[in-house]
Amino acid sequence: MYKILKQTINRELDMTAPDIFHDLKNKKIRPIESEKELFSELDERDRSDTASYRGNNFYNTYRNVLGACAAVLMLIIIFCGSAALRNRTTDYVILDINPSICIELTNDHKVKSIYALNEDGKKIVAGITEDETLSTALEKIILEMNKEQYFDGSRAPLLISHCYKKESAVLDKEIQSELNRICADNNIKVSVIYQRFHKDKAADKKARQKGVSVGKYTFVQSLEERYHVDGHALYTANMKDIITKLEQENIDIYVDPSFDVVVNNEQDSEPDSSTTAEQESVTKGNTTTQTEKKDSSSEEKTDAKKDDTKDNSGKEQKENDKEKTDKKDKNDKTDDKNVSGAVDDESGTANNTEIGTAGDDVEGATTETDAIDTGATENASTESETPESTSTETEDPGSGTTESTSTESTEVEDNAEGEFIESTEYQTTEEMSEEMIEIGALDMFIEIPYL
Amino acid sequence: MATEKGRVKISEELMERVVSGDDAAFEELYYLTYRPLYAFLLSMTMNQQDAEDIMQETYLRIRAAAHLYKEHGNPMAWIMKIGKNLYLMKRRGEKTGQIDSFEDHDNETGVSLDNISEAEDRILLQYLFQKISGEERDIIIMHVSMGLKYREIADYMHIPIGTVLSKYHRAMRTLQKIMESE
Repeated sequence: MYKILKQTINRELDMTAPDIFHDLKNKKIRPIESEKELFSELDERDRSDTASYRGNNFYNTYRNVLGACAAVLMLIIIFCGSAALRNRTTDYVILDINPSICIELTNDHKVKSIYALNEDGKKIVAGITEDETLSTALEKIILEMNKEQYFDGSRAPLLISHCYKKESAVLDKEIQSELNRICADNNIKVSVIYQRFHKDKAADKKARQKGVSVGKYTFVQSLEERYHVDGHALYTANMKDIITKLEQENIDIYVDPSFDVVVNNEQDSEPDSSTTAEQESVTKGNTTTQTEKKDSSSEEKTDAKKDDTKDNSGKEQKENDKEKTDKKDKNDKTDDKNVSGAVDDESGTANNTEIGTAGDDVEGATTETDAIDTGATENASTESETPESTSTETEDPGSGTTESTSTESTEVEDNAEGEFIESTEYQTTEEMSEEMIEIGALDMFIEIPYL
Repeated sequence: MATEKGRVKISEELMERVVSGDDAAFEELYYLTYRPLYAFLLSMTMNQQDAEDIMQETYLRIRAAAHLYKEHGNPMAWIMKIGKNLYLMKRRGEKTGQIDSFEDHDNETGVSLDNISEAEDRILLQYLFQKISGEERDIIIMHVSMGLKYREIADYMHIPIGTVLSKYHRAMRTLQKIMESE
């Protein structure tokens, strides 16, 4: 292979080589004593002699430098990429009262930036740096708002919106607990409306067009959907004016259960033990609500917790209701019960009526809850209503325990299919609060810690 | 030329005579090796005068250090090693300015082959020095002119034998095409 070519190369190379042997004869020879002296240059370069070949030297150096640069570049990209991921904004906490302020949070719930969304907000955030934790940032903002007298002790609410890219119940709790702590530490009287929603670019765009925060925009949207009010007038109003305008139209979102609002009116700065228990129930109810607002993927995970929460709050509440009902029945309606108990032997309908009369709150609450979670309601209502039936049967031994229980179960199932029973008028604020607690399925709630 | 199939055959007996200071043996060694050694040095220096100077210094060193030769394989590799060491020394001197520098090289234009009177006798060499890369040219010279095996070339250049083979055949194909087109 390449025989002719090889011969040609050899022939031409032979022609180029000069014969210098006669010159060598005349040269003096200095003896070389060691290999080191003979191969000094090669020894120094060790085995890199091939790499130091003419152009190859440059080529290999260039290649090595290029490889090193590529490795460094990759490290920089990886480092910057991971840093960018860590610093990516995942949550926005938006505070609206009249000033609108947005706190951007990173993936690990660190404050990335704080900025005002309107002119009033600029005064509030002027002295707040971005090197804050969420806790200190919230505290400084609240204190600054208080200093500017935005919290005048009225029912003007502070709207706190948690806009998230990825849901985080931990962050929700942190925000709420921090708000409670800040208000308690600084004796600030303010109503707080919490709302939470997934980040929506379309909503962001519309909010910008209207010149309001996405939190307020979402809130007004909710009001429009619920009450069919004119939202245009509400977008530009501050939170206090919004509440006032709603009140002028006889709408009170603090107490209206159809708006899925839980009102927690704490009249005293030092609530008694019963009020504290109610507060806990409210918190549980809200947790349940927020869980139900989650996406379908997260619903399955939280169903168990939700049911437990509902059962617990339902049990406590219905035990209280049962006691009240028993007292009422014993004192005022003993005769009626006897009659209804007698009728109960003949028809379940009479039994339903009796239960409604004896515990309107319970029934109303049960109805509302059915629309949200049938399973939890069945458990709760069975637990609360069965003792009532038992007491009836005690007064009238003729009635069958099994029959009355089955009748009540039928009622619950009917409710689950959609027969909503209108809740009756509340006799006291306490009753109303209890029903709110019972509902426990709200996407928004109001806390009035020190009103 | 005492080569067989392009391979320089240097017997150990000849080397022993050279080590013992036999002038006739040294002359025989010179005429066995000076052509491939010159080609090797020319390929590195890309300059005939530098190649000639290094070749002269190489033979002086061979004579001066013949007693340091150790019997390990091909004596041609030992001679090449001395030549390359001198080339590197001269290059370093060129960079530091300590010794006479090389004449200006221009690898783009290639080595001057004016000493070959007939133009047709230098066509292939012109392409060899102009169109073929330095590493490929070294492989061709070591294999074709010096008669080193691929394994010996790979060891000498510290590159895989597969690389030696691919480079050699690629360069030879290129030269073959040029020859066919001429």
